[in-house]
This record gives sequence, C-alpha cells and structure tokens, in this order.
Amino acid sequence: MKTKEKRQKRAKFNDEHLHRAKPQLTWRNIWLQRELIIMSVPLLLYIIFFRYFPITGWAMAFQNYKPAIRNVWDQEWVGLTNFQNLLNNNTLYGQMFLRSVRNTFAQSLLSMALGFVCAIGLSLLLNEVRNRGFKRIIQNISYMPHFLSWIIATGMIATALSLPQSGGFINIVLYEWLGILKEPIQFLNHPQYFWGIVAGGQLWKSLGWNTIIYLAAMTAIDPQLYEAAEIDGANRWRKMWHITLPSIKATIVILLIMSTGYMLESGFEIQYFLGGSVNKEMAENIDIFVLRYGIQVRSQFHIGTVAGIMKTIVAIFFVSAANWLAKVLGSERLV
Amino acid sequence: MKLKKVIALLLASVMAVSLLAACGSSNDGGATTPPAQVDTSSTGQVDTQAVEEIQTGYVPWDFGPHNPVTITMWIVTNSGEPAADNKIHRRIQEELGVTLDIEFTTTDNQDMRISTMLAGGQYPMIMGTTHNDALMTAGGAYLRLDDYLATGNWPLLREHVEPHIRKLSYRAGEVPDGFYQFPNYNRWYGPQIQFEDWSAPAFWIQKAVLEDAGFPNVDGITVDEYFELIENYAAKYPTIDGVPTVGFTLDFSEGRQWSVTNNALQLQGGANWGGAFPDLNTGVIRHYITDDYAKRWAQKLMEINQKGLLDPEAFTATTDQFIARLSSGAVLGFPHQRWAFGLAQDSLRAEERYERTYVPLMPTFDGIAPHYSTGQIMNVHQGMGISVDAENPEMLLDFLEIMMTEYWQKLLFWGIEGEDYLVDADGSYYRTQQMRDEQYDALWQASNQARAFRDQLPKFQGLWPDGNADSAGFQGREFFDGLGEYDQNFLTAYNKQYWAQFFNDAYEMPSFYPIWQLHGMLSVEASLANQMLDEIQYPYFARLALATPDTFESVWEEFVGQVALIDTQLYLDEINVIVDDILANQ
Repeated sequence: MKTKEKRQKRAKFNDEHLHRAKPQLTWRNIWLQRELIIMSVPLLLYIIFFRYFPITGWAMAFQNYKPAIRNVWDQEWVGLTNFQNLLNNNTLYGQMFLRSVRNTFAQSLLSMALGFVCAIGLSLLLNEVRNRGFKRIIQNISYMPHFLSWIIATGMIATALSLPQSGGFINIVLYEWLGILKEPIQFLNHPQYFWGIVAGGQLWKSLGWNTIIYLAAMTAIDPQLYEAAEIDGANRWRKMWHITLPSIKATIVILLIMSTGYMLESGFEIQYFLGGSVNKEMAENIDIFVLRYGIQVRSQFHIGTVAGIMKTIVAIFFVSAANWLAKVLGSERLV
Repeated sequence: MKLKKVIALLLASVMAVSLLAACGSSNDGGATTPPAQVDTSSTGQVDTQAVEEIQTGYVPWDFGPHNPVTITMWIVTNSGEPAADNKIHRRIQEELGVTLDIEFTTTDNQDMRISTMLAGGQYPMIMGTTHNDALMTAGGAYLRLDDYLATGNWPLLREHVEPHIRKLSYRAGEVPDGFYQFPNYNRWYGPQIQFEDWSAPAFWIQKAVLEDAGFPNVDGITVDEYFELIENYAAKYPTIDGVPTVGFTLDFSEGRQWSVTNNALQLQGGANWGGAFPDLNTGVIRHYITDDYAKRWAQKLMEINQKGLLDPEAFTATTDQFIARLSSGAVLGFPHQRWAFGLAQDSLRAEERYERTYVPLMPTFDGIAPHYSTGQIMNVHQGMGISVDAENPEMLLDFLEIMMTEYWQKLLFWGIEGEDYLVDADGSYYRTQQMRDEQYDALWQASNQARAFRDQLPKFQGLWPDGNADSAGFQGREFFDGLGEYDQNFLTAYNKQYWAQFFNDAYEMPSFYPIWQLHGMLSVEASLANQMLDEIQYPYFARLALATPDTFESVWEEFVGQVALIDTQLYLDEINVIVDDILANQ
C-alpha cells in the first residue's frame, strides 16, 4: 500500500517538475532521482580521477621540470617561457615544432579527405552490388588490414615501398610491369612522398572498416523511396545521388564532426616506424615531436606537456567550430 | 530495481578500490631506513663473512637456499634473454637463493624506457644500462653509493671503482658529484689484453676480399685504396652465394647515424672523440661537421654511389635489416664498431662461412697516420646502479659483491667446468671444438649463459691469479685455437696473431677523452644545440651521398648554411668549461 502511494506521488511529481521544459535542480529533485545519481557516481569519479585529475600535470608546462626533484609542486616555475620557446620561429627548436604542426595538419587533412571520399565511394559501390557472395568477399578482404597491428602494417608498407630486389611490389608494378617509372623509386628516401604514404597507408588499413557505418546507414533507407524513384524513371546513378547520399547525409556530418576532433591525431606508428633521418622533415608530427623532444632527449617533460596542451586547445577549437558549422547548416549536432 | 542498485553499488566499490590502489602505489619518496634483515639464528654461511663481521661489525645478507629473495632488475642489452631453464640463473637461485626478476630492454629503446621510468618514478632494485648520457643519474634514479663503499663492507666493489673514482664521480654540478653507477666494461685489473677487437670504430672488410687480392698490405691504407679493393671484388663477383653483391653499406638507423657521420674524424686521423674534438694542430675543441674532411667523406660516398657500390637502401634500413644484410654474407664493407654487429659475425661463424666474416681496417685520407684505436676506454655512464628507492641497498651490494668473486665471475664468463670448459695439466682453461661451436649458437646461449645479466654486471677483466684470463676471448692460446683454420691462416698470412693488430698501437689519451661521454653534463640548451646539429646533419648527409656530381656542391652549400643557424658555440663553450674543470681536478 505504502509503495503504491509512493509511486503515485512520484509520478505526479515527475509530471509536474521533471517533464517540464527545464527541470529544476532542487534537493527534492535530487532525492527523487537518487538511484540514478548513485549509479552515475562511479562513472563520474572515473572521469574526474582519470580524465581531469591528470590535468594537474599541466603544471609542468609552466616549470623547468627536473625529474630528479620528484614532486611536481617543488619545481622551478618559469611562467610562459616554455610556450614562447616553442612558438618562436627564429629558433631551430621552434621551427621544428612548427614544422611538426604543419606535418600534423597536412597528414591528417590528406588522410581525412582521402578516407572520407573513398569510404563513402566504396560503400555506395558495395550497396549496389546485388551478388551477395561477391559483396561479402570484397567486404572481408577490405576489413582485413584493420585487424593487423600497426607494427606489422608498417612493416608491410615499408616492404611494399622498397626497391624491387627487396620485394617492393609498388616498384615492381610501376617499373617492371607497366614501365611508368624510368627507374625504381625509393619512396622512403624522398621526403616529398611521405604525406602521401601516411594517407595511403591509413586508407589501406581502415577503408573497409570505415564503410561499415555507412553501409549500416544505407540499410535503414526506406526501399519505397527507391521504388518510387524507379517509377519516376531514375537510373542507378540518379538513385545514388538523390536517395542514398541524402539519406546518409546525417551520418556523414556526424562522422565529419567527430573526426575534426581527431584532426590533430594524424597517427603515430606510421610516422614513428617509417620516418627516418632522411624523411624526418615531412614525417615528424606533433606526437613524434612530443616523444622525441619531450621524452627521449634529456627527459624534457615540460616541453612535451606544452606541445600536448597546445594540441588539446586546438582540438577543442576545431570540435566547437565544426559543431557550430553543423548547426548553421541546419544539420545534426553532436553536442 | 534491486538488481540495478546492487550493480551500481558494486561498480562504485570497485571504482573506489581501484582508485585507492592507484593512489597507494604512488611513491613516498623520502629516505627509508633498512629494516634489520639478518636472521642471526640461521646457520652461518662462509668464513669470510665471519671475518668481515669482526672487522667492521657489518653482517652481510645471509644468502642461501634457506633464505630466498627476489631481486628485481632492469637490464639494457643486445644479448638475447635467458631461457626459463637457464643453467646459470638456476645456479644463482640454488646456491644463493636469489631469484633474478629481470626486465629487458634493447639498446635502441633505452632512452625512451629511461624517460618513461623517470616519469613514473618507480624503479626496479638494480638498473643496468648501456651508455645513457647520465640520464639516469640526472633524473635521480640511482642511489649515491660513496658512503656505502666508504664503509669498507664491500671490498671487491670498492676495488673495482677506486682507481677511477674521480672520473666516475664527476658530474659537472647537475647532481651532487659522487659515485652512482658501476662501470661494466674495461675496468682492467692489470694490463689490457688485446685479443678481441671490441672497442674501436673501423672500416670493416670481408676477409674474402683481402684473400682474393692476395693479402695486400693494409697498414696505412687510404680511403681510395679501401674502396678500390671493394670495387675490384664486386666487379669480379657480382653475386655471392646467389645473393647480389653489395659493395658498401651503412648503419644509418635511428640513433646509430654517428657510425657513418663520425667517420669524417677517423678519416682525418682523429680518435673516437664524438661530434667534437681537440684540433690536432691547435688543441682547441671544435666541430668537424662542415670541415674539408667531412665534405670529402660525403663526396666519397657520393662517388661510390654513382659507381653503384653503395647499398641503395643504406639510408632507410633499420638496425635489424642492417644486421640481416651482413648475415647474408653479401656485403663487402661498412664502417661501424664491433659490438654493433656482433650478431652478424657470430651467425656467419656458426655457418662456418669464415671468409665472409669481417676484418677491421683503418683507412685515412692521403695516408694520414690513423688513430682509430685508443685502447679500451672505460665508459663511465653505463653499467649497474642501485635504485634510490631500494629498501635494502646493503643486500643488493652484498649480492653484487658476491658476483664479483672469482668463483662467480668464472661461472658467468667461463661456465661450468667439465661442461663448458676443461682444465689442462698446467691449470690452463680450454674448450673442445664442440664447446667453442656452442658458444656461437644463440639457442644454446639462452639456456646455458647468463649473457644479458653478465653484460651489465661489474666484471673482472684481466688475468686471475691462476693465470687464466677472465674469459676465453682473452685467453691467448684458447683464442688462437678457437679461431678456426681459415682465420688462423688469414692471420698468419698477415703475420699477425690477433685482430687488434690490424689497428694502430694505443696512444695515451687525455683524461677528458672521449667528449661524447661528457654530453650528460651539458645544460639542456647546449645539449639541444648539439641535438639540432645532428638533426640537420643526418638528412643532409643522406642527401649528399645520394646527390649527383652536378648537385653535390649546391646541397653542400645549403647544408653549411643550415648549420650556421645553430648556436654551436654554446655547446663548445660548455664543453671547454667542463674540460678545463676535469683538467684542473685530475
């Protein structure tokens, strides 16, 4: 009897307060939602301790950090000096950082553009394939590289790009079979190819996997639309253009917004394992810079931290901008 | 509803516990007083222990199977890891009750591992590194051991470091001067023995090349003559055992590029100083990165590349690929130091392709007197040290002290008598051919030698009182008998007894030699300036070597222009201050 009363009371309250346009934060409100709140506490703690608490380490960015002094708060404070040093284009150090920023943007823009266009293109093509067996085979083959670890993938890429005598099949195809090249090219010896290698390598590895989400979106399209279009005399191209693409537009926009957040993540392994002294100027991105100058060379953790902070700030800016743009365009928003 | 509550509570408690665990493991810094650790009631071990006790009042840890203890260790080595059934590790466990729990890192990953270790602030009890530019000491990972050794409780360890204590303790102010790390190589007890060829950089050449040329005189060989030998052989034999012949290759993998660029110094008659050296005429310390000889060295590489003698993938190969290339037996020559390609040499020997192994040469430009060899110089920034957080450093020192005894050194470096070596009527150690062959077998090594562990261990080098050397490689007769027929004939053809005779006699080097060992003392700014110099030099060096005669000059001009942007003087000034300081103190 008592519980029933309670339940009715709460339902009434919910109608009055919670289902209004703007629920109010009151003690009563909190009490009524106590189970939900308690359940969210562990996750909240997780976020606080493992995502926000480590940010205190950003203090290093304003210090001349020495690992021998083992407490972060006992270090020498230097204000914004580290930021100034890193953004100074007159020092070689600054130049290297700015170069790594340039490489990061170029590599990730290239990978993103190529990845998007190809993934959408491949899913459109796969969607049109009527032979199920053939479709499955193609899909499975294109997924496969996704399951390789990067260390193996980079090994394969390095071999593919090497000279014919070392098993470089790209040179074998272009030079020995097709005769497009006058002589075999050592792609990794020439910095100008590196951005392309990054984009191509990431495309090869993730293309099949990235089509999954588009294909899933396509299955949700109402077949009646196609039937109607067919009656109106639309051919396959027209149906793709006027029905399939607009129907997955929302998915495309969401994925685009999400990927802008990763704009500064141009990858790590491919640059780390394929970048050498020769092609470093085009290979080194921010992550590699952090590793080399923030960790490897004389344990300069503060330099790594500064680079990391700047990366975060730019990433936040990009996500907000993309989100705002989506809003302006009247599309779906993520946040 | 009830279930959800339970799950939520469970989740919450799991979170809380894991958080506590994460916080609890963080470091509490501060000095710890060692707990009383000796159980006096247990059966006493050896007499020496009792003697020591009387002299100093110090009671060493009671090692033995009745008192098991685990020692955590981190070791940087290129030697393979021991197998689970390794007989030496088992022996340590059975006789001393010590289980060695070792984490291994390969040398190319060392600096990164050091930094992550410093960032994490958690150290294993004993840490043994190869040359690390004093990163570990500067990062405060090693315990300062002066006060411990001063007690006299560890006489063998003290004897190991005492003659060199000033050099070992010099820190140029970054951390308090003091002794932190036991050197692992080239602490000689008595005169150096030169049978092996471990220390010096060299231009290596396949023995078959010299044999084919009729064992030409190679003393005072010039760079041109060196490459001529290679060119002739490559023209005569376009393939070796079915593999296309590679005239000359390089180890330009990340972190090893100096093995190529530093040759500009050796080619002009310099020793293995590093990136800067005291000018032979003026004595002033200077860089040689853009001097005439550096240009000629790059030009030489460009020339041999034009002739098709340079390995086309020399600049992109990783260390492993480099080793694999040498192991194929098809590479005729390359510049490097012996330790860096030991694996390739061993595997060629194991295949009994002796004529494909390498012999060191010392070419110079214009017949300048070569100065490749400086004798075997102790590196003061490598070897084992004890963690600042070790709860019981005395026990760890006791363990290292025991490892320094003749019994354990012989067990580690010679092996077990009857199994790994035999003793002849004069008490001299020797091996049968089968025992020698086993030494080069990587699988056998994993089960029968504590290679990685002994690599970083402070070690006795020289002759034991019984007349035997510390290891077979330094035992005169055993060294020559172990060479195999091909190598014996090869040496005889040159009227030499061992490989180091292909080098110059060692000069007396100044106390601040070599400069690359001083890099750990530089300020961050100066070491960055030096780092930048490398960053500029490496890609340009590759471009110069791969240039054509038409473009070489313009690439060189561009390179010199880039180098001029770096404040190299900052680095040279600091090095000069440190050198003056060392000269004034020693």
